[in-house]
Amino acid sequence: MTAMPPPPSQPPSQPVPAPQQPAGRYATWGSRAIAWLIDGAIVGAIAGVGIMMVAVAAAGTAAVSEGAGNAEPGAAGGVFLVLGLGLYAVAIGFNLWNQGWRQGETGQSIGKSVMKISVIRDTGEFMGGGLGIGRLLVNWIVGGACALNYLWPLWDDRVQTWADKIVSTIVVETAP
Amino acid sequence: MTTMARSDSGWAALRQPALIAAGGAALAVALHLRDPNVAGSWGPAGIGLCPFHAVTGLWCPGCGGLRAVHHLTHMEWGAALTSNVLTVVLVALLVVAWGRWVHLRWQGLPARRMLVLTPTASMAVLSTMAVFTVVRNLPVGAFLAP
Repeated sequence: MTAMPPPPSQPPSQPVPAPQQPAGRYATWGSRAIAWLIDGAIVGAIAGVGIMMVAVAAAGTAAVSEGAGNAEPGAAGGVFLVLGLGLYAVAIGFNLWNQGWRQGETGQSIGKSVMKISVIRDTGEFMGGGLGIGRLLVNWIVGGACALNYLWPLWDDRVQTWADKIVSTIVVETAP
Repeated sequence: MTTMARSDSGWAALRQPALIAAGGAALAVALHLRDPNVAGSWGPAGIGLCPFHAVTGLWCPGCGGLRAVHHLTHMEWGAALTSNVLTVVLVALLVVAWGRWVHLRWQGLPARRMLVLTPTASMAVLSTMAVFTVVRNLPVGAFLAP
């Protein structure tokens, strides 16, 4: 990708109404992938700690059944189990908020705001939280069934995933 | 998208094509050396690389793709075609698209991406894949299965 000079700002002499679209350029597959990895890393970190705590609880239970447990291993294991499952639920909830609601309302998940790209509808408006969550669920189903969903922007003329096509969204570079 | 006033030309414009070519060549060398016909060579033993095949036992449109590339690198054309004919076509198309891309960029013409499919072309690709998937899973289409 060649270095681009920043697009010229609106001339102050002409008070044109702000355009609906943040910017005209489609976001590249690479910037979308990095944003996705950032969002995924946050979810993975939270869920990972949760899974580790569940594993610790399971190991404690196994140790008890082998007769090598400490004084109160059952209670400690239970706490770890509940906390671990809770963290796992928090990770799912965070993802629904971040890549669902937040991205629908503002156009950006945390990863996308780092990469300065936004999801907008064909009409140029944001999706809104409800459709944002809907788009996330479509991605889970379609992307889970076929990884081509996530690769499709590489050669699509509008740089869309299949989920993008289903809910009529595009991802563009956010105007500075 | 590619409305830049000027694009790089000459060697500077060929950095991306060179990276893509290096990636493709590395994959081809890896598949040449490590035979995907050997169970467990590229995916978990007994499961393989394709989740669709692992779950359903059916062939997905990509199944046999690695084997096809392996046979291509050994110039075993027949084996490549029966492993996954779509992959053979895809490799040929990618080589042509890459050559065209290099040509355009060398001349400084705007070509941000190597390959861009119009909606019509996308539908044609997906339809072909769908038909291929059905046929290679039928008894009459067994010759298309890896």
